Amino acid sequence: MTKSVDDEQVSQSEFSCGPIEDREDIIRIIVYPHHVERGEIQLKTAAFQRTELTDRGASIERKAFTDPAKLTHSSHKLLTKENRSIAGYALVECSSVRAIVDDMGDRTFCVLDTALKCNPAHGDIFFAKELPKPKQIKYRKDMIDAFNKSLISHCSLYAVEEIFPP
Amino acid sequence: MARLARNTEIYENRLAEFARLSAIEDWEQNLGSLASQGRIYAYGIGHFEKPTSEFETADDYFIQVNASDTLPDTDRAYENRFSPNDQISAKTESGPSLIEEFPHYFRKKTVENELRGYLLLEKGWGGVNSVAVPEIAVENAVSFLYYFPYDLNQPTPMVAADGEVGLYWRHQSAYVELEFAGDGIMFGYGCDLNGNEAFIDDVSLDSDEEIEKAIATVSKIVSQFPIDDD
Repeated sequence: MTKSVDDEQVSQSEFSCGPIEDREDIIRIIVYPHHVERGEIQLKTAAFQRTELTDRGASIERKAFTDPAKLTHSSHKLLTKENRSIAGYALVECSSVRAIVDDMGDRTFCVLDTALKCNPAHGDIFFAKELPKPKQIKYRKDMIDAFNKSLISHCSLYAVEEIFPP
Repeated sequence: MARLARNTEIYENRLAEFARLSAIEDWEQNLGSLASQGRIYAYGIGHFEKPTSEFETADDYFIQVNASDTLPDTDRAYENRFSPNDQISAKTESGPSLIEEFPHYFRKKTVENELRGYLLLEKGWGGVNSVAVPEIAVENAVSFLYYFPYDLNQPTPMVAADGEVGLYWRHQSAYVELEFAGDGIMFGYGCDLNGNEAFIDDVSLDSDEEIEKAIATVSKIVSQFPIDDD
């Protein structure tokens, strides 16, 4: 079932601290080698799986409700699944994802507070409307570009200590 | 943890061996083909006692054109493909290496081998919901790869946890992506340097007409890319 921007207005989980604000920073955990080339800071297309965006949601962490220990813990949970390593983190303001619109001016993504009991800072990005698959590719690219713009500006993937300076 | 490490080791070895054997097989076929055409090359598999230092040049070049680091294991496998023990890219002073002489072929071969490496991924490879990659998706991606012109920038392969296989090209603001699904359908999107967009919707790989049209669309965009922008 397709999510919509209306879903952003109400909490999606009993464990949530509330809907995600436009000005909140959201964090995507970047896994090597699937999400990023070695030595590169630009995310690969596979950093956001298209069918995740249509079905289960692409996981993000809300900076305001996590901390270095929790973020590291969430990252390490990914590592137990297979042979991969954490390359770093991509961070953008939620508004930069919500700003992506289609030809009709409709928003293409919604960012929802899908908090988990074990991780109240958890959120998900979904397509906000049904789109043909080629257009899903187009708007996913636009979203990855938004993350890449932030990474290029930062000159690298973020480290935990850069997200949470002492 | 020990069990996980052991499984990882087995997995890595399988991928490395797969890529190594497939590279040797390709070279044998290639050499056989060249020999049948009466062309003489001073190359061989395991026949040279003293590979020259230029072997390193050829090997380094091959790593440079490695299309993707999507999997650390396949990445390592590619680096192992032309190991000194096999001496398959060793050459004498009589001429350039095959890699130097047929760079377009090797760009494609690198992409193909990575695509075929995806077939070794088993259920759960990319998380709890990830699935094994359907063979038809890989075969269709390889078919498209070889339909695509040799003299243009070759794509980077990718694989998603849902089993879809993809090829993409990126250069500055331009971008092309094709996805190959398990139902035999291909779809994609492209945007050239001037912002002109192309939408490729549900192409059947059984239809020559549809494939030609898709190739023309992709080629038009990719022809703007510098050939060495891998």
